Amino acid sequence: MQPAQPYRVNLGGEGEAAGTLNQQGPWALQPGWASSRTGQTLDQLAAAGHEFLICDNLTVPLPDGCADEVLTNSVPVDTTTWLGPGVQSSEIRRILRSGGIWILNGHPHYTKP
Amino acid sequence: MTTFYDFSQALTSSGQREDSLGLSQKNLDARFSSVVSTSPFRLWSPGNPIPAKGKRLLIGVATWSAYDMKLLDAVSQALPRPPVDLTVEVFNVADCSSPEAFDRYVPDIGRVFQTPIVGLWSDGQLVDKATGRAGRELVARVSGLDSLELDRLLATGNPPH
Repeated sequence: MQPAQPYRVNLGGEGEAAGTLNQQGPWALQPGWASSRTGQTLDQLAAAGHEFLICDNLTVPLPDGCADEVLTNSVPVDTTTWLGPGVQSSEIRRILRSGGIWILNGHPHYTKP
Repeated sequence: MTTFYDFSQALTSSGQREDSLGLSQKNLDARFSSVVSTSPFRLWSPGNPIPAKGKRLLIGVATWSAYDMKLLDAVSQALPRPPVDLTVEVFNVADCSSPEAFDRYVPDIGRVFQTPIVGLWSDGQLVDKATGRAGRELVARVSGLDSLELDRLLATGNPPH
């Protein structure tokens, strides 16, 4: 029996991660949006097998303690941009399970006690 | 000279403290102009003059984006010293609190979803503009960088996807 895959959530940023729930803000549904890494549209990324969660950054509709890993890659955290509030570290800490890790720009940044 | 990428790494070292990233972000934005002053670039604000002769590249970047910071480092290394017939100016998107604010930097840029925000002027006239991946490709084209090599460089140190 194979071990279960870790449950990974990618909270936006540069590139979509395979085998991961990729969150994007509602702006990803607007005409003209494309992946900043590949230039692909949301439809093209979905057709390629990427799974998406479209929601704002203030309240991520995922249960407490569900994620083994949360990824953030070149995204605003705990700050506001022209698009609205960026990723909230409080939400990252909420959805991580105990022992879960936040990977910030490719580096382990926080392990939930 | 501090590289833009090194400068941005203060974000990743803020560790386990609650709210430390927000504070680090504010500190980065406050220090951005001083890092630009040690680079070949000029910080540009609306109302500042636009060169009437030669090419001018304006790049709007986010200090929270390691990709943007690496892009500035790559352009900095690619430029001849002193730059010939090309002025590179930069701005921090933290100075744009609404989508409409970008029009003051790059007229009619349209809806901005991602950085960088890029405009190219020739003899004082805006001749090209782009954002996100297309913006990076425009920067690469103007500054003589190989687009694929730039992709590889920007992804270095970031998670495999």
